[in-house]
Amino acid sequence: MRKMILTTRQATFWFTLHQLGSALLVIPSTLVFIAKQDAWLAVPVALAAHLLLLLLYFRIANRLNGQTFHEHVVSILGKWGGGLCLVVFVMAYPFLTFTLVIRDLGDFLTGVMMPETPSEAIYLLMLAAVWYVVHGGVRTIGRTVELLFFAFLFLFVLLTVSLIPSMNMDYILPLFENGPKPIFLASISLFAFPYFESVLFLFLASHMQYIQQWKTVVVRSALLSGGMFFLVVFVVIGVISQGVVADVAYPSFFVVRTISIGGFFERFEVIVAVLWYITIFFRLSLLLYVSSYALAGIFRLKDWRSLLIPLCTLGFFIAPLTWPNTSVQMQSIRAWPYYTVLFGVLFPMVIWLIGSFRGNHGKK
Amino acid sequence: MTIVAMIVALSGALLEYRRLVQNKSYRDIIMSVCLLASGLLLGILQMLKVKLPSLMGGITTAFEPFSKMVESWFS
Repeated sequence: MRKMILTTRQATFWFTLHQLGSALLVIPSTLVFIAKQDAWLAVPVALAAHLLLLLLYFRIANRLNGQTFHEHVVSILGKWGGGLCLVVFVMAYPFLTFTLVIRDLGDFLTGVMMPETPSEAIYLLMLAAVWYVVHGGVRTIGRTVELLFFAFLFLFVLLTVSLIPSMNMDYILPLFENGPKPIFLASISLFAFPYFESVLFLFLASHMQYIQQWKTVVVRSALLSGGMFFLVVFVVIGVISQGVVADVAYPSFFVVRTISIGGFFERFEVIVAVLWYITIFFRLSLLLYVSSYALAGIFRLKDWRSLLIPLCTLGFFIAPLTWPNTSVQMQSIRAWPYYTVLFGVLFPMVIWLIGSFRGNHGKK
Repeated sequence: MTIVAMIVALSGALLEYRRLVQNKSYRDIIMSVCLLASGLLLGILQMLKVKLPSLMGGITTAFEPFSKMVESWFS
């Protein structure tokens, strides 16, 4: 397969938007539900834990030596063992997350913006756009993200600045009312979703010119997305209080409805939808690209693009089956971090340990 | 809507297969057909209103005990 190179800037923006993805909209309520007004403190805790986990990913990346991650796994676990592990990994993690994100998108748009539009129409239109950009390859995604990241940043800053006058610092206090335990418990949610997904960036390490560049990109994107999560959670609690945040499904969408400056600077909620569309688009593109690229590598296909349409079709038809109702979705949010530990921590740990025992540091 | 999605997927795949046949990428075609067929089969089952299990329901059942255990440590 022809090697495609991403620039540091393109990769940083892509990884950041991937991490912000659906979490930007749903993570405030998850964190606030557990840690109440201290939820914003869970963000730096999760970020610190994530930076520690990155050390493990960096150890693995050091051993790639120009190989792709799936080639490295096969060289360590063998053709059949490695192939089987990778197929399970890809279908149960990036591809499953891909279907969950499609479902999330449909639920959000039909729930709060376009209630009469069938979810399938939303899935189809988004998947067509994602297929188109991924089909163009990582360079096309990189150039698209360079264009859209600044639009995203502008809208994000505009919304945050517009919300600051409505903040009431009393909503943030008292600090540590329930001790540090709820903060640590809430940080597990953010650590798992979206930060465990950074393991997927290993599949893109071979798309950077030097491994050191990839490491810089991964750290920068974590800090950027972490900073944005921190701002969103802090501002949302400060504007509508923890009691309200925990009760609404999409607090960062809800909070924007409260912006009203001078009677004409209002109705900003559509901007949140645009922001979310941008982040979801790049999140889906990364998940689809990794799924397709890794599966094509495992099955030694000539062109990874040949799997894009089948994977999109599978995603389209699996999305309605992910959860039957919101109650199951809420329950699954609590179990999801422990499921993702398998892929975000245990799988890379096993690869690193077996690689260390075998002294297999990848082919030069 | 399901039928529209199926038609779109099939037409797109057929165009892709023409290119793959020209490149003699038969392994790619086999893999692609297998995945596409499973996708379309799921679509047909949904059209026939066959009750299929929820994916997240299974994950929740398997991993909720861990979630409860960790929550008890932090409560």
